[in-house]
Amino acid sequence: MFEVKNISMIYDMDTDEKMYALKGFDLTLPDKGLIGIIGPSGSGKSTLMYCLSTLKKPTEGTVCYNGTELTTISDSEREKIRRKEFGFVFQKHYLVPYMNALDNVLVAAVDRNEETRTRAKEFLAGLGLLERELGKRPAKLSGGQCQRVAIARAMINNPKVVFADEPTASLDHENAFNVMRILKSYSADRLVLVVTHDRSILSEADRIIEIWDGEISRRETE
Amino acid sequence: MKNPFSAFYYVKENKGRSLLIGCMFFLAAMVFLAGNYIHSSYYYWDGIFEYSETVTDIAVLPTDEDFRDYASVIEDIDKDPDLIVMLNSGYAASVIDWKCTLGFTMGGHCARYNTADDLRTAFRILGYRGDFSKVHEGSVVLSRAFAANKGFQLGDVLGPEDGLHGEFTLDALIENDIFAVFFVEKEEHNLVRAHVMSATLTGREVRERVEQIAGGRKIKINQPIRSDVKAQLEPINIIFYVALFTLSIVLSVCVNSVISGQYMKRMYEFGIYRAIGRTKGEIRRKCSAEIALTDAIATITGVAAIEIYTFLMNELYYIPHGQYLPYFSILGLIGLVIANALVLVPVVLLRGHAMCKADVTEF
Repeated sequence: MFEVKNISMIYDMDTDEKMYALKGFDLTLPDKGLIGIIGPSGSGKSTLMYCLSTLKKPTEGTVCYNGTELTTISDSEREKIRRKEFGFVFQKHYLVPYMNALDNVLVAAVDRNEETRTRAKEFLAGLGLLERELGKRPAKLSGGQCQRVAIARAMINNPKVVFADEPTASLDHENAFNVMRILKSYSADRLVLVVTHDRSILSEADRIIEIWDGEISRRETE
Repeated sequence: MKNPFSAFYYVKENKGRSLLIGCMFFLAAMVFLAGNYIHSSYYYWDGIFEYSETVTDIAVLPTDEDFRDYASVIEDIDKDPDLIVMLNSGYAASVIDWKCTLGFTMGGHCARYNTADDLRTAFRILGYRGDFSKVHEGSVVLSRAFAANKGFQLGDVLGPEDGLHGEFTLDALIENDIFAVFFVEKEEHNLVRAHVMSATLTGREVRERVEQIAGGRKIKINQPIRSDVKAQLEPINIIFYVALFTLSIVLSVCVNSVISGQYMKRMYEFGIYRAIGRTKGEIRRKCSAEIALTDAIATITGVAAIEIYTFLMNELYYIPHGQYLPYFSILGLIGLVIANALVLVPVVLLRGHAMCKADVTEF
């Protein structure tokens, strides 16, 4: 699904102190499965995820998604892909504070109809949220509940790829385990990319990619 | 089905924030009231304009020795079956000032009639309503509003201290709103001016007929005073526009800084929208719609409050004191549109542009 060739990301290009977040490597990702990208803080793992998900454009190299060159298409085409084919879960849930749990999911939906609303409710119920919690705003929900709402928001359009950037960093062990269980089950027929610095949550991953100083470590495991 | 991305949803769920912005837009609506106050100056003159356009006032020219031309024109006008000549009637120099809604005094128009019958005939043609049966030589007639403005009552004797050249008794009140003074004073000699009007022709037609009859003869035909008076009142409009622009710029800066602060706190929200694939166009439209909706609500509320204020002020104070504040004016409407545009357009452009740049990866 993803073909990455010689990808580089350089920050502060015009200064003497250029910073190489990614240092020119190749990578191929399948169209389904739970892939973990692991590395210490500052290793470039989040930058890699942003480049794959079109949130950032690499300085050099190409990123192909299902044959489409993401680095050369227009902004509007990138927006279309993100809208219909990608889902995002971030470390902080980034739920909209004035929307309730259900509306936070629906705001990401491509189609606005009763069927979508029903699907969103089912999603949230499947993620363990009770009916009475759907009308609550994020301030009234726990961290784990908020992250589950964020996951539902990421999945409401049945995206082909879910990008999860440190999805369990703000959670306790039990909630972290629950979130990873949900992502694992979704990866049965979709690609789920999880970026983390915590190896313990990747016990169920189909593949782990280690990044160190902007390069893929030779210790890549499958 | 409700749309969480819509402007209505945002305003409904963020009433406090919207109220703060709304209060600022409300101030822009006050410009509408200011325009109405400025326009109120014209209220007092509308009746006078109509009078000067309906009645043609003619007078002798200083170059007309022995008044020969004047007399011959009068004779010819009198022969015209459509025209009514009232000799020794015309504009007079006396002036009674009135106090306008804005608080300053103005004065304008005074017309003299040679006989009470001439006055009654003129008023019938002009459509003035009232009981003029008691009008006689030595009477002065004012509108009810004018009398209330000055605190005069029927039977009062008005004299030089009030602006008249002699003493006259207030014997009738005109129900129409016209701020002019009419008095009856017989003059046998000095046939130097006259009023010409018609029961069948319009004021413009009367004027054209008189000009046609006069031909090249030496006679002064006074023109309607609307354009002259408007030119004199124009500086007030200019002051209004200067104040309008100044207020709008100040408001624009204030509103922009408040809205900037509010939207900066929502940068991550818009970063998420960008991340999940909302287009720049959708985000710009969302920002524009939120701000425009808040402005619309505030403006409608503001104008409604102004209309209630105007009603109360008119009923409780202005009308009893012979003044008036209009409910609507073109000047107020123009001011409202300009103030809103000057405040709204920069906010919409700047905020929409800024929110399109929200990048979730930077949080």
